[in-house]
Amino acid sequence: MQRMHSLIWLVWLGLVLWIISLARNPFYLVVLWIWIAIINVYTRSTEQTIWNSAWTLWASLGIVPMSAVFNLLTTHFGDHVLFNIPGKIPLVSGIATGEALVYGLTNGLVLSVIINAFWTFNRNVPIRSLLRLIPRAFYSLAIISSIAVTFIPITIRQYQQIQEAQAVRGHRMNSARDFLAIIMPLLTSSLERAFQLAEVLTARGFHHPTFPTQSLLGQRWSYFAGLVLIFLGWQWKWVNQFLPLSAFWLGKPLFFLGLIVFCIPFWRIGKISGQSRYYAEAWHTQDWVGLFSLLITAIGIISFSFHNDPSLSYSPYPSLTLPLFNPWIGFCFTGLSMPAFLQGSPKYD
Amino acid sequence: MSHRQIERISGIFVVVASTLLGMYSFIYPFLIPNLSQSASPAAIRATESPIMFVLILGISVIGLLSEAQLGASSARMVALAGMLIAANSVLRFIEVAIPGPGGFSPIFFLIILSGYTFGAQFGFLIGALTLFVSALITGGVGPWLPSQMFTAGWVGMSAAFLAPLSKKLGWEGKNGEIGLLLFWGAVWGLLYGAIMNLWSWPFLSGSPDQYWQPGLNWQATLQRYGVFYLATSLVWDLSRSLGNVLFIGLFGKGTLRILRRFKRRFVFLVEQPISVPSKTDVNSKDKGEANAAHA
Repeated sequence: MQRMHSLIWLVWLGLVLWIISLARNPFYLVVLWIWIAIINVYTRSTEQTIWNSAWTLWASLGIVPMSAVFNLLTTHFGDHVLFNIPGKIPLVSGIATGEALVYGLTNGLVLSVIINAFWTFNRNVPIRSLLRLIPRAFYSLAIISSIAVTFIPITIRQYQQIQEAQAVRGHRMNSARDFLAIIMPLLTSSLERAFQLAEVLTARGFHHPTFPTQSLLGQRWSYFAGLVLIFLGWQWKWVNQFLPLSAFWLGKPLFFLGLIVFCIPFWRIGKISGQSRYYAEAWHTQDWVGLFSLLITAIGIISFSFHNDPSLSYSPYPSLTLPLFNPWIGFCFTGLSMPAFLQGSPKYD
Repeated sequence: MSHRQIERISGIFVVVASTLLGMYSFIYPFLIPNLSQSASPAAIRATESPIMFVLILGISVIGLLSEAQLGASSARMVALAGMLIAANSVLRFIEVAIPGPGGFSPIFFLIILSGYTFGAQFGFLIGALTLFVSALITGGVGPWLPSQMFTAGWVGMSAAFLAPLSKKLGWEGKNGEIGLLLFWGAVWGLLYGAIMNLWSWPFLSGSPDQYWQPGLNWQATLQRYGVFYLATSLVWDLSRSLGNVLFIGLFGKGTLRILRRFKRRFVFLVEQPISVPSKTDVNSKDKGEANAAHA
């Protein structure tokens, strides 16, 4: 099986984050955590065993009790008193409640799922594919980032060479000041290398697509208008208070209009930028299947959200209750695992 | 007003609007209960998600980067930025492998000096992209990345504002210049931590004297944040601040000298148009010189 397209993994990450923001129910978070753990282990590299590939899972699990205990000890609200911490210790002394424990537990689970989701994304999307996702409008930024990523190993090697050369000359690293003899040559050689690289870039016809040959005025006003519309749409509840009309519904349309106006210049600059691809990332049939499964998951969650499923929102306050669990919502999360199972274990990088 | 000036002003508008939006995203959770005037502010807070904060901050960073990338418009500046970011990312890589005390990080020293030497746009690029690239190589891509890029970008961008001040005071190439940069490094060491806390602090709940609660006024919010900062962040941020001072103090002068030398080689500044003398001018000049020599 081929590696899934980077865009599929990007959609996957966005979907996981969206579900976390929508459903702060500990049961759903546990189900999500388990699915991500399975994906994480399943997509491990061939050299890794199940146990050493899952170290991030164990590390992130540590956050859950930490967050729960911290909240239990520092938050003293709620009806279900578990025990009393005597004395006058600032922050800590007072009642420890079940509500605080569950709230801390939920917070810890949210953090753990977020960290695992990003770790899974980092594992499955190589750096070069991630850089290729940078839109054409950020042509210069993509090249700068590519240069930096490419030259990091060379810079590390150079650092070691300078260190060895200085050691041969009898230079000893006794204090922080002694690093001067390493950092300065490293910086100078990096900048000298930048010169050679600039010549290569010029020889290959590098130029910025919009500057200084074209006016950026229109694009800049579009960015500005987009930012203003995004702000107005986002904070429309507040803005609407000062208006004579009652149009609370206008917030979301304004926000999305702002996003479109903000993105138009990127699309225009992107069209101007010529781009040559030496390693084009192919889109396979499995990518369509992966995208389809993610879409089904998203549609499922949206439909439950539209019907205001009570199990989606949960808070232990004001009184501690057992969270509800809708098995169909739990089943919807299965779609998140499809990209991993379609792809299999990566055999690259 | 010339077209060039209008272009410049429109660029400043984008930078200011993006920065204000980014700053607003840091403080908006504090404003919601007061602004919405709801009977149940807690309910409003529950619906406001940190994901929205990341999204808005991401848009703000994109707006700033769209302007900042013009600071690297030539092949030379692109190569220079790439190399400086590579060198700085190596420093972050070393820091991740061998963690320093508290929030100590060697990356800010080069970000500040780059912004100071090459200007605001370039400074923002180095700050934001150092965090981006080093996050890629250390597996540190996460929801915290936009706020790190925004703040580190501003560390570099703001350092550029010191250059005219230093020039005005006649401190260029002198100890006063290093003193100014030391002060800036120390301030940003603390400020970086204080800003980064804000991405999680309003969403946390805990002791009433340290954590924010909906409906609090500005004074009480600041007071609680002050207590929280003193209890959880000050020591951590002080080590970052001292690290910046140490690095700028030890390596600042030498690094500035190198960066300036390369700036002269990388950036050509044509201050006056070169006028090519016409053929008649050359002839009359030659005749004049010949007459003078004859006399």
